[in-house]
Order: sequence, then C-alpha cells, then structure tokens
Amino acid sequence: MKAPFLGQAMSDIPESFSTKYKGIASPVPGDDLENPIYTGRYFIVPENGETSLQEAVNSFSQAMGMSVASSSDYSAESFKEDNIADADIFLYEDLGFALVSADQEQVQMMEAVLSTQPLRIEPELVMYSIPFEGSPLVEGIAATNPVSVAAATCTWGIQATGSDISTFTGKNVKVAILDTGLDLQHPDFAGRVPAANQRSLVPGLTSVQDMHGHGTHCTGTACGRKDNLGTRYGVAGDSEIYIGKVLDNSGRGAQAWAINGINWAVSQNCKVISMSLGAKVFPGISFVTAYERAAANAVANGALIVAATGNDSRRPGGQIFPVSSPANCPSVVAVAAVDSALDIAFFSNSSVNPGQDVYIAGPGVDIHSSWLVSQGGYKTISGTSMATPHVAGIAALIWEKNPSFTPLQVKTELRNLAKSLVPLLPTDIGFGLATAP
Amino acid sequence: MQVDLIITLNEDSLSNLNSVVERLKQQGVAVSDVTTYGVIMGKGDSSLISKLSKDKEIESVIEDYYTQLPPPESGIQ
Repeated sequence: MKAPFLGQAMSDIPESFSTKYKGIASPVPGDDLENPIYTGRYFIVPENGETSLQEAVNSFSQAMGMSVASSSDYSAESFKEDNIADADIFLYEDLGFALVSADQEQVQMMEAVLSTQPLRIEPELVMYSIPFEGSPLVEGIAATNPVSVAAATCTWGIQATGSDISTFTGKNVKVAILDTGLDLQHPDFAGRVPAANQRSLVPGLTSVQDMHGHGTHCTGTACGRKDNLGTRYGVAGDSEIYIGKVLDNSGRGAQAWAINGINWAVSQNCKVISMSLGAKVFPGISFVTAYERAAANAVANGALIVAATGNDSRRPGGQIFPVSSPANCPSVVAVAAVDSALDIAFFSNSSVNPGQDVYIAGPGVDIHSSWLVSQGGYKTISGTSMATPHVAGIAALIWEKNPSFTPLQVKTELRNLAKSLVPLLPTDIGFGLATAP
Repeated sequence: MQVDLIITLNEDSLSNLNSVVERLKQQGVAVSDVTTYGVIMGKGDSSLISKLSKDKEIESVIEDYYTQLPPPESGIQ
C-alpha cells in the first residue's frame, strides 16, 4: 500500500481556507502540495451498516488483481503500515471499512461498481495536529474584558461574550433546547416552562424531566438567569424556553428523535434551536441527508439551529476530528469551544471535511450552570455542548433586537459580531468568539 | 433483522411523497413518521436498505443510529 501523501501543519493554511476547500473539485493531491487535504488513498465506507464490504473487496481483488490484507492478520500491537506495503486494499474488519490504494482508472471502476451498492468510495483526508505552545491569550480582548472585574456577578462565559453588558435578554424570543430535558423542580426555571412548552420525543417517556443533568445545564446557559448566590450564568434570561427531550435519561438518542424534535420546535414557532448533541464523524464522511433536510426546513420556517462541533479531538499532538453530526450540515451553525484564556479547547473539533466548517466559537471550558437539584443544583463542566447554548442565547438576543430578521440574517449577524481571536485558526473557531449585540 | 430506517426522498420527488410512502409500506416499511420535506422514518428489514437505495425517487436510506452523551459525572460533555 502506498504511503499517505502528508503535508505541513494546518497553521500554514491561510484564512481563505474555506473557499479553498470548497473550490477543490478533484480529490487528487497536487492542488496544493504543501497543505494537501487528501492523502491520495481512498476509503470504502458502508453507508448504513451493510455487510457487503467483504464481498466488494473480494470482487475488486479478482477483477483488478488487487492484493488484500486484513486487520485480522495483525494484533493491534504489532500492526504498522509497513506491514502492508504490498497490499492494495487493507480491510479494517473490526471497524467495517477498507482503505484502498488505487490509480485513477481503478478508482473510477470502483466508483461505477459501488454506485449500485450501499457502499461509497471516499478520499482519505490528511489529519493535522496543531502545535501547542502554551496558552495564546489574546491580550487585546483580555484587556478590554478583564475577567476579574465581573467574576463575582457573572460567569466568565457571560462576560467574555458581552452578554452582561448587552441591553437585550431574549424577550419574546422562543428558544428550544433539544437535549436530555430539564429538571422541572429547579427553582431557577420556576414558572418559565409551562406544560405546553414541553415535549418528549423519546419513545416511552412522556415527561421531559431531566435525569442526566446535561439538558438542565444547557438550558441554563442559553436561557437561565442567576444562581442561588446571585451569579449570572444564562445569556437570554427573558427568552421563552421550549424543552424537547430527544435524549433518554442515560443521554442516548436516535437521529429520528432529534429530527422529530426539530420538527416539534419548528411547529412551536421557535426561532432558535439549540442542539448540544452529536455523533462522531470521520474524515471523508458526508453529512446526514435527513438531518440537513430537517435543518433546511427549519431555516425555511424561520428557525436557526445551532449545534456542537463535538469533543473528539485531543490537542496538542493528538488527532483533530471533523465537525460532528448534525453540526456538519450546511444549514446548521457549528459551534466550537474556547476556554477562559480564549484559547481553543483541547477537545474541540475542527473544519476537516470540506464544506463542513466550524462557524463560530463559544465559551466551553469550566462553564458554571444549572444542574439537577438532587445533585446540588449547579455544576461546572466543559464541552462544545456548553459552548453551543451560549451561541443559541446570543442568537436570541439578536432576534430580540431585530425581530424581522430571517435565520440567515441572524447567522450573518453572529458572524458580524464575532470577535476575532488571532492567532487561533478559522478552521478551529470559524469567524471567532460569539458576542452579544 | 428489523432495523430503524431513515429514508430521504429526492427533492424532485417531493410531489410524489404520498405515493412513495404507500410504496414503502407495500415493500415492508412500517412507517412511523413522514415529514413534508421528504424524510420518512420507520422500521423494516435491513435488506431493504440496499433495495431502497436503488430507488430513483429516494436520495438516501440509512439505518438510524444512536448518539450517546458521556455519563453525568464526566467533566467533558
């Protein structure tokens, strides 16, 4: 198997990254030899858990004389790519996909065969790790937003986004949180979520009562006000809260439940739909068509979906994963996470797959918000799940200020208001840190 | 094996939504939800995935999968 075609660090890619990615028509390395996106190899990926992969690999082996190696021939400890230098196809049996080294003619033949099967051939993408050099605090922003001044009265996320000094509170704007539900006993939300604003989309569960904590935390960040000690932790404290339970009490959920949740929120005329959930996406994988169709329908009906980019990456030195699903859909605003030093969170995913870009970033490390009353009522945790409701809340503030805005206008305004965080990369934070109008 | 299916129609076929749904039912899909924008959800035998993928009015057929949040005690959510 030929070696992957690797390049230099992502930090060398100029700001025009997104147009550059989208402009690439051919997945063949050579468009930019210094910063290649593709390795020159290909994955054969089952689209839906079908088991015809082995069959397809066998047929390519026979029809084109390609040699096949399999992961079952090696233990995890002993496997190195050097072991398969002579193989044209390497079958990852446990993972259910194959890596193929083929010339253009062979790729075209495979594409023709696979077009009739639930298997796709996708170019292998280069994964870039980001060199980590301490904490690149942006001094200009730190100077204008001294965290210590307001630390006693609001969380760092509220302050960094300027939500504490905004005159807008999301009044009359409907915000849907699609998550594990809400702790209906929490005093911070007393009287704010009437029964008509609650819907469980989880089969077998009628109540939106949160038994996990995640949904209560996200709701607090987007729509909460102050905690029991008077610290403000919510962005849009006067917004109208809609709770769609799309994850069960263990935090598990099917895509269909999430799609039904989006449809419910749209039917309730919610303007903002916050989705701190997602599935890991590998390089070369497309967005889910059904999700995109649901998101586009939401936009057409006046709602904007914001979703978490995912926490699969490990910086420094580890892999950088693509934006998760459904945040990777073109009609969804993908939110990355930064910490209180305004550095990228070590777990935050990045714009790896072409056209599936991070749009904006929000505070997502050490975020204090509401939690289950039975566990103390508040909790400080991290994740792109925490960054997402900050942006959802800010979208509500924008809508309060501009009630006639379309979802796309709100999305553009998020971009206009975003604070550049040089030297962080647009691949990691999109247009920058979301800030309040 | 029965699996949860998410079927998305081609946008050009949206006007045929009702007839496609009927056809899916006849082919063994127990349809549970139909959206106006062409996403149909239901249950059916896993063999339907490859069969329906060849349907010219259908853009994609996938087996639904579950996402899973970390446990509540995890520091990263």
